[in-house]
Amino acid sequence: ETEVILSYNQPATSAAWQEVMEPYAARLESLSEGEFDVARYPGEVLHPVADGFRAAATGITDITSAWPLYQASSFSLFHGLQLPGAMPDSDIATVRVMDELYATYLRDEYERMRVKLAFNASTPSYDILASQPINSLEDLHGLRIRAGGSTATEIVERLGGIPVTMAITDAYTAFQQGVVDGIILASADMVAYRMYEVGKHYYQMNAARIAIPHAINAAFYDGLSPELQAVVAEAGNQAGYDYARMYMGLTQSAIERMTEEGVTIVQASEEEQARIAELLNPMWEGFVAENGGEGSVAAAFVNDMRELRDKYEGMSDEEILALPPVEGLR
Amino acid sequence: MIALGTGAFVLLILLIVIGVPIGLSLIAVGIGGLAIVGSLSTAMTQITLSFWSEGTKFVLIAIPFYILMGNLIYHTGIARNMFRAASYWLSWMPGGLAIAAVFACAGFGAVSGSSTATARTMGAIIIPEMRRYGYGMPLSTGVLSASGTLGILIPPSIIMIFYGLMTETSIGALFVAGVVPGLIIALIFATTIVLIVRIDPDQGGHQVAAPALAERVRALLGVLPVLGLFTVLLGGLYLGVFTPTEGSVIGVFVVLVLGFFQRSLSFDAIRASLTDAALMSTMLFVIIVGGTLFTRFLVQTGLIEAITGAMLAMDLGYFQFIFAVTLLYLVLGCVLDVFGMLILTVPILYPIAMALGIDPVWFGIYVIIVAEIGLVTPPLGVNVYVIKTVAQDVPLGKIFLGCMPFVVGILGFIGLLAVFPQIALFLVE
Amino acid sequence: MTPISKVSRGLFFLSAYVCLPMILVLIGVDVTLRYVFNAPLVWAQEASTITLFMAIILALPESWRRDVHIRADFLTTMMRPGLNNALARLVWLILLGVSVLIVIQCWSDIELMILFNERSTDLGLPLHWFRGALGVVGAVCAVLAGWKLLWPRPSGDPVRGDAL
Ligand code: NA
Ligand code: NA
Repeated sequence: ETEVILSYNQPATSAAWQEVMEPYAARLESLSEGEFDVARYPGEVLHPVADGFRAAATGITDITSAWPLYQASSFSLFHGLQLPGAMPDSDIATVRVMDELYATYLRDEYERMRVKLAFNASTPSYDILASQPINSLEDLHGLRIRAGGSTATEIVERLGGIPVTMAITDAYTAFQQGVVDGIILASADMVAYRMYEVGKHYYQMNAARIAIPHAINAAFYDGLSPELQAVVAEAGNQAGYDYARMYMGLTQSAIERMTEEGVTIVQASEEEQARIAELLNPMWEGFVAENGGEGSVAAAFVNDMRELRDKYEGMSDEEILALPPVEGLR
Repeated sequence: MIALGTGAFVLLILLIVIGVPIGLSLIAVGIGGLAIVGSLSTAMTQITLSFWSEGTKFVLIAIPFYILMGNLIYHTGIARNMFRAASYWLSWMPGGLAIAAVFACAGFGAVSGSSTATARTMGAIIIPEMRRYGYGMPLSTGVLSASGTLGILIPPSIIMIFYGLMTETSIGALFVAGVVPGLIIALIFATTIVLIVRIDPDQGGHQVAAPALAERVRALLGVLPVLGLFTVLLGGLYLGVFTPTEGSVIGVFVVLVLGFFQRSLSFDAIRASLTDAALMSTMLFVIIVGGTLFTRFLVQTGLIEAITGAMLAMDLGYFQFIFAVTLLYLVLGCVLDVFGMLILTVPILYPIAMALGIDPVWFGIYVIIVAEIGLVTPPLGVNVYVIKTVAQDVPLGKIFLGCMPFVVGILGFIGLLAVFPQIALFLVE
Repeated sequence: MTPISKVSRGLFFLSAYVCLPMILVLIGVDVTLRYVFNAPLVWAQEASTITLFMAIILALPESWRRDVHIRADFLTTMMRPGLNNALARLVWLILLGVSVLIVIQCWSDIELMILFNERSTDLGLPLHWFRGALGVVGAVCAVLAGWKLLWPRPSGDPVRGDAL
C-alpha cells in the first residue's frame, strides 16, 4: 500500500472539495484497487495555498493546489493563459486548451518546481462586483477595486479603475465599509466569499481566467510503478473536467443567488465588450514583448493559444470530452 | 498514530507546566511530532515556512500596533483622567471600575477584530488604573483576560469572517448575531463582578470619596480624549477610510498627535512603548508559529478526527451534542488556539449540527464563544499570558483563578443560548 | 556586555526603532493616498508585511536574552535553585536545537528559492534575502543559547533573563 498525502486549500465543506477533490481521492483509491491510501487534508491545515509548490517539492504533501498566481516570478509562459480572452467561453474547452498548451509549452516551467502535473484547472472569467451601479466603463472610472494577483491588477488599471491589494479575509469588511468600491473575482467566488452581501452591482465582462493547476510531488510520482502512474493520469484527467463542471454549476447558481439577493446584473454590451477588448489587448503584446518578442517561443505560444481557443470554441463540450486525453502531460 | 497525538498532547502540557516557555514548548513538540509523522526534513521545512507565512500575514500587523497604542495611551495619562471620572461617578457601585472596564472592552471590540488584541490593549491601559484604585489583582486580571471575548463578538471580527468563509455562512448575519450575545456577556460579567465584590470586598478597591458635583462634572472632561480617539477609529472604520487592521496603525497616529498637543508623551515614553511592542509581538509570534507547527502535526495524527468520530457514533440529541462539543472545546482549548480549533473541528461538527437542525449562524456564534473559553483556561491561555505581560508581578495561577468566575459566567451564557437560540438570531431574522 | 549581547541589541534596535516606525509610515501614507487622493500604493501592503516579518525576527534574540517569553510559573516559584538551574539549561538547550535547525533549513531554503526565482509579488524583491535574515537571526539565537549553556550566569534567579 502506498500512502498519498492530499492537501488542499479549500475546507472540507466547500464545493471544490466535495465535488472535485474528494471524488479525485476516491478515484485514486479505487482505480489503484486499494494500492493508494489517500490521507486527506482540506482547509490549508498542512500548509497555506501560497506554499503549494514548496510543500509538494519538499514532501510535506504529495498532491496539492500549486498555482503560478502565488509564485508569479517563477513562471513566464504560464501567465499567458491568463491573458484577457485567451481561453474559450466553455470551462470544459478551457481545460482542454490548457492541457494541450501544457504538453507543448508549459511543462518544463512547471516541472522546474520539482513537481509533476496532477491536473489542469482554471477559474471562470473574472467579473466585477461593485457597491455602485456599473453600466459602462465610464462608471468604472476611478473606482477602488480590490484585485488579487498581477493579471487582475493590470486589468483593473487598464479599464480605468484603481487596483487595491488586500487580503481576501480583509476584503469583506473593507468592501462593506467602503474602503474599496468593488472587487474583481469569478462570480462563483464572489458568492463563496459572500461579497454579494455588501456589493449589489455585478458587471459581467468576462475579463480573464486564472489558471489553477494542481501538482504532484515529483519524487513521489517518479517512485510509482507504471501502473500507478497510469492511475494518476486517469484520475487527474477526470478531475480537471470535474473542476470545470463544478465551476459551471457554481457560476449558474451564483447568478441565481445574486439575483435572489437583489444584486443588479449588468452584462457588458457588444459595444462595451469591444471597448474592453481594445483596452486590454495591449496586454497580449506586452506579454510577447516581455518574453522575447516576435519569433520567440512566447509568440508561437500565443499563436497556438489563439488557434486552440478558436478550434475548441467551435466544438461542443460532449465532443471535447469524447476526445482521447492529451499526451505528454507528465 | 492516535496514541502519538495523545502522547504529544500530554508532553506539551508537561513542558508548559514545568515552566518551559509556551512558544518554545509548542515549537519543540511540533517539530518532533512532524519529524515522526513525516521526516526531519519536512519538519524543518515547516519551521521556516511557517515563520515566513505567519510573519507576513497582514492582519498580524494589528498585534504590534494595538500593543503600541495601548502603551502610548497609558503613557499619555489620558486613561488615568478617564478613570478618575469613572471613579467619581461609579463609586457608589461595588466594583464600579471593573464594570467600567468590561464595557470599555466591549467598546474597543467595535474597533478591533481580535480577542487577544482587545485584552492586551485594554489591559495595558486599565490594569495599572485598577491597581491604583486598590482593586484585587485576581479580579482585575481576570476581568481583562475574559473581556477580550467581547472583542470578537462585537463586530468587526476576524474569527467570524473565518467561520463564515469556512461554512459559507453569511458574515453580515454573523456580525449582527454577535452583538446581543456580546452585550449579554458584558452584563453577566458585570453581575459576576458585583457578586465577587460582595463575597470578597477586598477585591473591590477602596472607596473613592466623591467630590462636589462641579468637580465631578469637570472630571468628565478627562473622558474627551479617549472619546475622541474612539470617534476617529469608529468613524474611520465605518466611513470606509481604513480597515480594522489599518485601524491599529491609525490609532497609534491619533495617540501620538494627542500626546504631542497635550505635551504628555516624552521621547522616553515613546521609546519604551516601541521596545515593549517589539518584544511582546515577537513573544506572541513565537506562540503563533508554535501553534501552527503543533496543529500541522496534530492533524496528521488523526487524534481530533478520532475524538469527533467517537462523538458522532454516540448519535447525540441537540442538548447532548451541545454539551459534548462544549466539553470537547474545553479540552482542546488547553493547547490549541481558536483558529486551530475551528479549522480542525468545524468541518466535522458543522454537518452534524446541520443534521440536528441547528441554525448555521447560531452555531457560528456558539462555537466562537466556546472556543474563546480556551483563551483563558490553563495551561495554554493566550489572553491570560498577554495580561500577565502587563501585570508581571501577578502569578499566572492567580490570573487563571481570577478568570474562573467569568468562565463560569460564559458557560452559563452558553446554556442560556442553547435554550433560547433567539438570543443570537432575533436580530438576524 | 558580551559581544553576543551587543549583536542582539543591535538587531533589536532595527526591529523596534526602524521596522515598526517604517510600517507606521507605510500604512499611514497608503491610507492617506487611498482615501484622500484615490491613488493607493499597490505595493504598500506587501512592503509592510515584509517589514513586519523583519520586525518580528530581528527582535527574537533580544526576546530570549531578556526572557520575555511567557511561561507557566505554577511550579518554578516553588522549585529549589538546583531544579531551576536545570530547567534554565533545558530551555537553552531546546532553543539551541531549534535555532540550529532553523539555520540549516534556511541554508537549504535559499538554494531552492534561487532555483525557483522566488520574488515578492508587487516589489519583486528576492525572497531569499529574507530567508537569509532569518538564518542570521537563527545563528545569533544559537550562539546566545550555546553561550548561556556553557557559561550560565551565577545569578539569584536563573530562570529570568538579563535585566532591561
Ligand atoms: Na470586534
Ligand atoms: Na486554554
